[in-house]
Amino acid sequence: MFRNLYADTRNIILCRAFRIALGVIAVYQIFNFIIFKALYVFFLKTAMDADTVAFTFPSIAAFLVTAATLFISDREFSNGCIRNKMISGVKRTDAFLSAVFGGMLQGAIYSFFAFCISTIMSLAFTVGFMDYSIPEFANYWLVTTMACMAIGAFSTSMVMSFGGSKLSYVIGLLLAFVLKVTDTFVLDKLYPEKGYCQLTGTKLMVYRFIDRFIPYSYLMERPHYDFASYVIGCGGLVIISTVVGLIIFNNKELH
Amino acid sequence: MEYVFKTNGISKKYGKFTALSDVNMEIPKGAIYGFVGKNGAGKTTLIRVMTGLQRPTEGSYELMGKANNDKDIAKVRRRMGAVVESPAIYMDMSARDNLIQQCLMLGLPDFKCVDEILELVGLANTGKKKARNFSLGMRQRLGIGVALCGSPDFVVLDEPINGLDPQGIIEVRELILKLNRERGITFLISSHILDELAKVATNYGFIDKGHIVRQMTSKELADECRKSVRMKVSDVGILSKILEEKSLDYKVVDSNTADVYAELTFSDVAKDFEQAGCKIINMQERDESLEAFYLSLLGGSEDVQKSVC
Repeated sequence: MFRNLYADTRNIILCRAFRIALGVIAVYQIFNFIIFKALYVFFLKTAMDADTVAFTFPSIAAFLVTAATLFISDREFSNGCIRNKMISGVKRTDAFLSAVFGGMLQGAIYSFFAFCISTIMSLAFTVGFMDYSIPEFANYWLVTTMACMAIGAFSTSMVMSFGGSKLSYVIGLLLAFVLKVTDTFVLDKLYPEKGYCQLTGTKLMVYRFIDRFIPYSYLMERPHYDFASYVIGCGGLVIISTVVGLIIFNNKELH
Repeated sequence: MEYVFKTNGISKKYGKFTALSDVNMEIPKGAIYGFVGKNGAGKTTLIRVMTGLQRPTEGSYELMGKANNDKDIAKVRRRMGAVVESPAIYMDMSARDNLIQQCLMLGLPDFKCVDEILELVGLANTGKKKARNFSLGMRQRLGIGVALCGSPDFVVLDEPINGLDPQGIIEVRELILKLNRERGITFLISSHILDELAKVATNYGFIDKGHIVRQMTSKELADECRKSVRMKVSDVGILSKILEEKSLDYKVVDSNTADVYAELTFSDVAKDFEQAGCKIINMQERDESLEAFYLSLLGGSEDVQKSVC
């Protein structure tokens, strides 16, 4: 499986879509930085703190990781390379696991790249953090990276299960959108700006479950649960999508 | 005879639709097997089953001596290359990178074969040019190159000359012949361009409506397609006697019909037959191409013979 994983990693790195995704991350963060800098300089007339610009990536992470992993994994089907792997004697399980690891790797790389840009901008062009200590800053990025890896695994698993059907794009991006909207709603109910949380019973448990164990919601708010909850949430999504995807892919007929 | 691929009553169904029905097919080692059939006849389905992309609903097959349900079939598949439908290439990679990618996937210890294959498929001078900028012919040749990584014993090419210009067709044809001759690679080539197929194939398999209608060698096909005169006479025994006296090659078709493989002068033949007391009912010149043979083989026959070889 490792030789296949190595080949897949090489493919990701040489892929144009991967470089475009990195470019989008850089442009988005720099663009955000320029806008905020202008606001601070011309309107607020104060020095800019790092909190404002350090965590802009998580707001696009779910969409970006989903879109990039869907596109790159889907190409394996559209250009016939997944077919070629099977013909060349690569076992289905190996091909699937390697693709899922590739998706996780992409999530990790995008997140790490965003972290590097964010750190450079925060250190070089701001007065420093107001609300975050260094461990909190590191913890936020670690949770973001884990969430991106889990989302990468999930969307890759979906492409492999749907066998390159454009349905995987629709479901993947729709799911990212729906979860984003749901999370906004859930967070608003759990942590209202005014007053206290009014939820009780099952509804409170469901909302807390979404907030605590669904990786998409980790990208909405700074970490506020224990680290184990995030590990369980991300690990759970990776395991469930891998196991379900593997069962589907192993019984699937390729064209 | 040793076969690289042998099926035993393979059937493949998609719901109620039967794509393959009781297919028995044998591909001899070292052959260039021309696989002929109309669109939807079952060619690509059989290729998909053969390459492990799909599982047969019924029946079994052997690939280079390993049964399809053998645990080691994956190892045998590493000795196989294929271009099914479209060439499997990474568009963001150069020709060289594509071949290295395949070598990595096959777990080859080094990439020594890459330059040789690039030379072989005529892509040695493409440098860093990405496959997305290749012409259709170059992509096709790269696809064949990818299939050749790891020195396969058996290569499956599904419509390898589709969309190629005449120069490209010649290049692919020469490449197939060269690989078969010099490396002993067995090929299965599915193609619609029958006359082109006739230039390379040593064996043929005709498929229609999911059945293998007929398998034959190129020699058998040449005999079937050979220029001949079909004679319908009152007594085929007298015809045999006359033709043997004249040392002419012929084949008896039925009790009053025979194919004569020689140029005949009608007046001379008529005189000989009249003297022997045999009436010539009619004489018809026959000259079949592979295309004509294919059409005559499949044209409207309902009681098609299932796998004759």
